[in-house]
Amino acid sequence: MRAENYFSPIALEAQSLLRSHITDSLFFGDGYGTDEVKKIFSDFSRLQRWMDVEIALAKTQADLNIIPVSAANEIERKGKVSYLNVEYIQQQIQKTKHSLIPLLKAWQSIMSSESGDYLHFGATTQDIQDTAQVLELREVINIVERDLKEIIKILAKLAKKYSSLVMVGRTHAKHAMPVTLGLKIAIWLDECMRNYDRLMQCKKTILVSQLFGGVGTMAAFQDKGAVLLKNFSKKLGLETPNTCWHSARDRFVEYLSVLAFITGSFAKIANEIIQLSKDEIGELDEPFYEGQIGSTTMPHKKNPEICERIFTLAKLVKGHASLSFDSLIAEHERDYRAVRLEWVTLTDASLYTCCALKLMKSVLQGLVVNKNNIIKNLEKSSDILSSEAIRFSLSKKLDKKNAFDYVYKASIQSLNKKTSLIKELMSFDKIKEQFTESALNEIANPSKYIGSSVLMSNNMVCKSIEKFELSQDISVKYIGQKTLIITYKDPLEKFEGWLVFDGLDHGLSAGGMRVQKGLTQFALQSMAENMTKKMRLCGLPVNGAKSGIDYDPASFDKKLAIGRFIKAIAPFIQSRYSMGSDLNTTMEELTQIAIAQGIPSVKIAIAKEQNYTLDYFHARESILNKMAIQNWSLGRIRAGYVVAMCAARLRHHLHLEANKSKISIQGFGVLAKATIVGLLQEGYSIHAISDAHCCVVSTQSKGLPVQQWLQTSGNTLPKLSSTKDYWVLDREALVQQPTDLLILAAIENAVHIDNVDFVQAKAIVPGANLAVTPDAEKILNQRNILVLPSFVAGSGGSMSMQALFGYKNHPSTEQVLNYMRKKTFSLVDELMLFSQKYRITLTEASEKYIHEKKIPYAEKPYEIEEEM
Amino acid sequence: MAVTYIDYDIQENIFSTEEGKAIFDEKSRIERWLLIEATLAETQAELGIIPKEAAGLIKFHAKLGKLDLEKIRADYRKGKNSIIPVIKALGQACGHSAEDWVHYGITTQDVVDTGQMLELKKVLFVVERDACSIEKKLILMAKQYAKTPMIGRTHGQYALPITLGLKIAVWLSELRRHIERVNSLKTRILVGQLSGAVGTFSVLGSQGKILSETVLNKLGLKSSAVAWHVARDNIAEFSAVVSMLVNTLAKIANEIFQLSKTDVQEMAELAFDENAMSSSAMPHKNNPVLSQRMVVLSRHIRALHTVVLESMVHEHERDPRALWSEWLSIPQLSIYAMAALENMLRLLDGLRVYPEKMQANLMSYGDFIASEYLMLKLSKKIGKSKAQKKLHDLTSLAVTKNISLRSCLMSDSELTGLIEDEDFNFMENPSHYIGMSESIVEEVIGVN
Repeated sequence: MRAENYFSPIALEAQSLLRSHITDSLFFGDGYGTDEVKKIFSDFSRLQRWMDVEIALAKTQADLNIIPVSAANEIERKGKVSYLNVEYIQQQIQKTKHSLIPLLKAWQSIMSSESGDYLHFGATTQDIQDTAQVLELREVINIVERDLKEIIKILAKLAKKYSSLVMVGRTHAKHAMPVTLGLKIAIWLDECMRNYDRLMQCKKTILVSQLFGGVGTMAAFQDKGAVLLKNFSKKLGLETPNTCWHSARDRFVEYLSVLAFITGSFAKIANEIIQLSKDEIGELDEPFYEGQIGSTTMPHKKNPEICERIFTLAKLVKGHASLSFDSLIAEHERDYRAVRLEWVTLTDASLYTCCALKLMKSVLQGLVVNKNNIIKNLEKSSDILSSEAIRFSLSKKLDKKNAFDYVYKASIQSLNKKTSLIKELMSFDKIKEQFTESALNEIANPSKYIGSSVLMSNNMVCKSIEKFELSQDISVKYIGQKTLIITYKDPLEKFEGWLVFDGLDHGLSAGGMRVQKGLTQFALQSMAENMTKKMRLCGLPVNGAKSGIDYDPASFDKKLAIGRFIKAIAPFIQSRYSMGSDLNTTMEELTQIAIAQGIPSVKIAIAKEQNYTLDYFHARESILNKMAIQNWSLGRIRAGYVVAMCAARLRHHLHLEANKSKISIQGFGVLAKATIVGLLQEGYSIHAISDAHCCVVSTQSKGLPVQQWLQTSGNTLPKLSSTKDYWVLDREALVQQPTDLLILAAIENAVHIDNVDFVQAKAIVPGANLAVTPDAEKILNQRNILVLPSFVAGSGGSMSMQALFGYKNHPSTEQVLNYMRKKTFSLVDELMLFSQKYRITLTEASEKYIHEKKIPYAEKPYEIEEEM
Repeated sequence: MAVTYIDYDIQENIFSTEEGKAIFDEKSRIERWLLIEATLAETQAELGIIPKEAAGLIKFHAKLGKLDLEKIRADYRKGKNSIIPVIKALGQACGHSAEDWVHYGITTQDVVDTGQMLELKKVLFVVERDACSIEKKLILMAKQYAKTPMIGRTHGQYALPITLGLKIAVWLSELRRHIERVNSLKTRILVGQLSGAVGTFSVLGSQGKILSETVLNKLGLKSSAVAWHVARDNIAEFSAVVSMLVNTLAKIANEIFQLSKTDVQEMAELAFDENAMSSSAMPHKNNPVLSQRMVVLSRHIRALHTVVLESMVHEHERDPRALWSEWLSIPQLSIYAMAALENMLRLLDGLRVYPEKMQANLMSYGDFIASEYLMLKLSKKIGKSKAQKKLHDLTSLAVTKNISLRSCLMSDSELTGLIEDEDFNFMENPSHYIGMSESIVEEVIGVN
């Protein structure tokens, strides 16, 4: 609508003469409203909305034979502000002091007198204006809802990104205890989400029509009032109110209160940014855009201008909200004073709020986090920040009162003498007797005293995903403090699927996705726990997870089913769940399906956590496709390779010579074959192998000619019959073979209560889940046969990820294998040591090791510090 | 039962003062009403409006101790008037002969409004006294720190050097304007009224005016030519001036709060006291409690002042809805204000100032401090807009590269020869750039 000469000096002056409200300012209006919301409230939109309501009324009345159809049609046809004499309307409003009649007169003047008589038939002015006001606010609410949602998403991203960034927490403006930035932001996120709920609740309450006539009795509509109101509301997409609400303005007060909540929360956030961007603190900064000027006199200044604006807008909204409470006190059947007040409060507060939303979004999107300053400030106060932690530790050896007093005295002394708290504590004999300085320093490490900050911020992120990004087919539930279960119900084939997170205290969760008939949530839960164990064994700051669908893997529609499942859990894949292949799935197909759903990789969460670009991530990931040993790619060999290394290291602990030890392997699938390749590479020979049909046992000390059989595809050995070099036996015979190491790489329950007595191995390495049943394991322990827990030999996937992504530059396949070999060796060594030291079984030792293992907080999930 | 912080017995005087509470104590207020009734009767007798004997009896009995308190309490429970139970009890105490002459020709609101004015007079005395004590302290501090350089902040960010004395001089000048306001206010608002039910002297007739003047004069108030039952501007002005004063104090308290942050540490409220613990969980904490309380008091006073303003809108000749809102607000507002003043005195008494930390903070910003100075210098040589652009670019460069502005200036070819040694010297001594701070302080202190 802007004319060519809109910005000519004369046109500008003429325009600005009558536009003095700051929101209308050509120069500053941008800081108090947005074009989008101003359009909603513009003069013409407002008149047109009144006309639209009149048209809806006429059409509904025509439907009910209250007025002639022809009249309704003409009312509609002539119902555009642009057809009317606007100047006349303006003059008449000034003269008559009536807000609607002049518009109606101007409208009637361009239609036939028969139709004109039926315009505004039986309604009162306030019916039209209140209904239009509701329609107006509906448009505003849509903007607020959209922007608030985006802000929530940005906050969730920030909360996740900084979930473990430790910083100073402050109370009474003083340094108090350590927190994480993620937790601070999670609190903002939670608050904004509650405000979102309030907005939705308010939206439900507020979107009703008004059509009750002069004193709310519907007198003019005779007996058709109720049906007219219902149809009229429906036509406008509004709810039907129970009674007239001309003098019950609570809906608008609720609306303004919600706006005040939303902007009030923003003001809190903006103020926090202002405070933390002060020069002495310098931890956060709002984004400073090229071309922005801080000060007219001081060229170096970068002021938190946007945050200050947000703060001001919030105050203005609050002012209007509190004004609106006065409109609750309306008198008798109608009281236009309330409406007149609302025309100011609703309009201005809506403009301010939409502007605040826009500004808040831009601040959060570009929020500058100065990690160096955060760390510096933390280090400066590290010992006082931990006064509570120290007090707790002291009170374990002294009584509580004494502990507080010592720390209190030491605090005063350290402040007065400007020395460290710990130095002062060490000056007390009582403390010196019980603690060393280094022990106290360890307690005072702020990053050790952040409580559940990380878990709570990650939890909030999941809650926001749950709320805003999941389809209806998904439900979410928390079990206890740490388990999050996402349940998927397929709308087409009605099967169920689950994504189980075991813990959320790190930024990333990893685990495979399986397709299995009869799969249950509980089975996935224990597999996710197993994944966590593997992560902890490897010392990775990653949580375990597992997903899968209860579905027939042989079904023709398998890919489609997986696709729907992946699409439903996509928000988690995008943010924290790194998916791998598992039973009846392959990486190739998962990747293909994900790409079809617009997800670049099922492991995209890793890219985000590692701070990789997509291209770099793909380049790094593709190392898995490179050949590692012969024609075995790294991706295919990694799991079996670690099983092989476990066996090799156990052999070492059994004090057997490598070339004289006997190894039996159950299975001839990918895992078993990869294990064989790994063992051959290490110089071992294989004594016995079984597949689903038979068992081959070598008669020679050099072992089986397994190299040539490895070329066959599928899960079975080539067709064999006994020769002088080997015998072909029943497949059950494998576990009964006298052997040093028995590797179980095929099925669950391979060693069970019925065959356990025949086992003649010195040690068992289960590569597959639950290959040894618990009761069988008990008997094996009694017989002094070593049994490595399956999650130890099964940790190849996790270990390989560490090697693949942990190096600063792309590693070679040799580097990855080498890392895995050394890591497995040292892991087995530690577990053996534990088991001997505490006289417990290997499984018990592993559980103890996992339980006691401390995983330090890390910025990236995968990072190898030094060359191993 | 004590259910508000004002009345708390155990957590006494956290948000109130003994002196303030004494003014608004319920029994003192009733005594004040009785004093008005006694003075009225005495004067009416002098003017021959009521019998001398009756006035004598009324004067004798107009003490709370001589009245049946239980009866008054029981009457208040039944009655709907705010003063009749007291008058009835006074009448009964005086006996049949004097009873009819009690509260003769005036209305309830005459007594209550006049009583409230007597209270405000006392409040204003305290406010003025304490504000003047604060003024004296600020003068001493402004003198003491007139030359103490520190960083000035705008938008919460480092701007240019100032002196602490200058900051305090700004507080001082603001406070002095409030003292002036209080003085001017006193000449205007301390007015009572005794003009009867609708302000027409309907009972007292032509003698009303002289009666009212004499009575109010005796009580230490002025009288008004016309009733102000529904003209509450005086009360609103009182509340406005008091709120302004307290909000200035809160501004000062907030500044102390900000400057005593662990990260800033230029000031501190009361150092550790062996027995005063700040936190139940963190033994190291020394919280700025007084300055925080000041901010809290100011918030409440602001809200209460809004109610008082709202109460200006009376209807017709009397409107108890508006009046009663005032009754609930004025005592609280006054007590909070007196508490804020006392708090401020304590805060200033125990305030620690750390000039070394101020200097350290000032120096920590490096040569950016000199950016305005450099701009002035360069403007003379290459023109203002070019100088502004140049310095903006160079400061951005210094920030992004994390190097000193000085090195950026020295390595910029366009500026070769334009910056002199004297200028570099300036950068190293930001305290040279405190402008007229010192003489402004002297000037402010000098004006009394």
